[in-house]
Amino acid sequence: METKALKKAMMTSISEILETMFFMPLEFSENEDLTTIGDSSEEPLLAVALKFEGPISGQFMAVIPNSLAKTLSANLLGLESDQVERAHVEATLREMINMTAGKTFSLYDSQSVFKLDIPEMIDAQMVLGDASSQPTAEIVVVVDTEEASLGFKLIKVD
Amino acid sequence: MAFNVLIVDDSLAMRSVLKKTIQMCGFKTGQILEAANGVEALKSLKENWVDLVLADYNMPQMDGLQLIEEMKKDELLSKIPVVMVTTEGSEKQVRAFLEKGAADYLQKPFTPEQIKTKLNRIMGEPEDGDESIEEGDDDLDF
Repeated sequence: METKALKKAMMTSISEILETMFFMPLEFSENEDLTTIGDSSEEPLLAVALKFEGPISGQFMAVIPNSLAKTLSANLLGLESDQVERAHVEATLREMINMTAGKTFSLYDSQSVFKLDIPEMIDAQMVLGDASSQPTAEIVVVVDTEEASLGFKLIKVD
Repeated sequence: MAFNVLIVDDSLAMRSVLKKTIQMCGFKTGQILEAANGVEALKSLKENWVDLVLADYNMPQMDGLQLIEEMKKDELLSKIPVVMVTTEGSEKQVRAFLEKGAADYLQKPFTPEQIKTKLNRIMGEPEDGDESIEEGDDDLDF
């Protein structure tokens, strides 16, 4: 029940944030395999993570192809794509995961306070592979956009 | 009247988004200043004339609530309204913002219309096509 409610909150949050802040229409994929992200191209994947503590604790992560990350950055910051630099992309991804996590938890449990750490860029393999800690639950959401797919993963740790 | 605004956020992206949104939403802005945390914000507030502060809650060094606490200790700075910008939307957290003295809060994601409405209300500016200022704020009721 908790996992179902969390996933619903994640999906609502992702949808609202990508559409409102990044002007990015999306569809949710039935596929929950993050290793398919960026499968069809050779381009690098970027990943960002944020630790959280509250009634549930764990890590909120996202993995995204570099080109889609640049598009999101251009949309958020109002830049042309050739003006987008690595610092813009990283700042955008940090803000994306921060907003997505915050909105997810406020939708999931508006009575409780969740403490969010400062987001950090991580190696994409940390999202695609097994978590180093022992998760007690894992929720994966894969999002399709016109340009490419990106994925979100929430791992709950006791 | 145009208002000088100080945006306080450790995120380069969010500072840029807030700046752009405030400029395009129709709120009457003068100078828009930026600071990356509460410490930088206090320095900027002492060096510049600022009418309104938009402060992120979750920042390193000095968070948004600590910034409000510091501003309340100064007679001049205590009069400047602070809008807390946050991803955290729990009722307990929002209540804490308001109890500490925030004029209002803005939860991400936000639209330009939401920003304009809140900032105009706080600064006593009339809404478009409505010269009256409504008292209170539905967002603040629990």
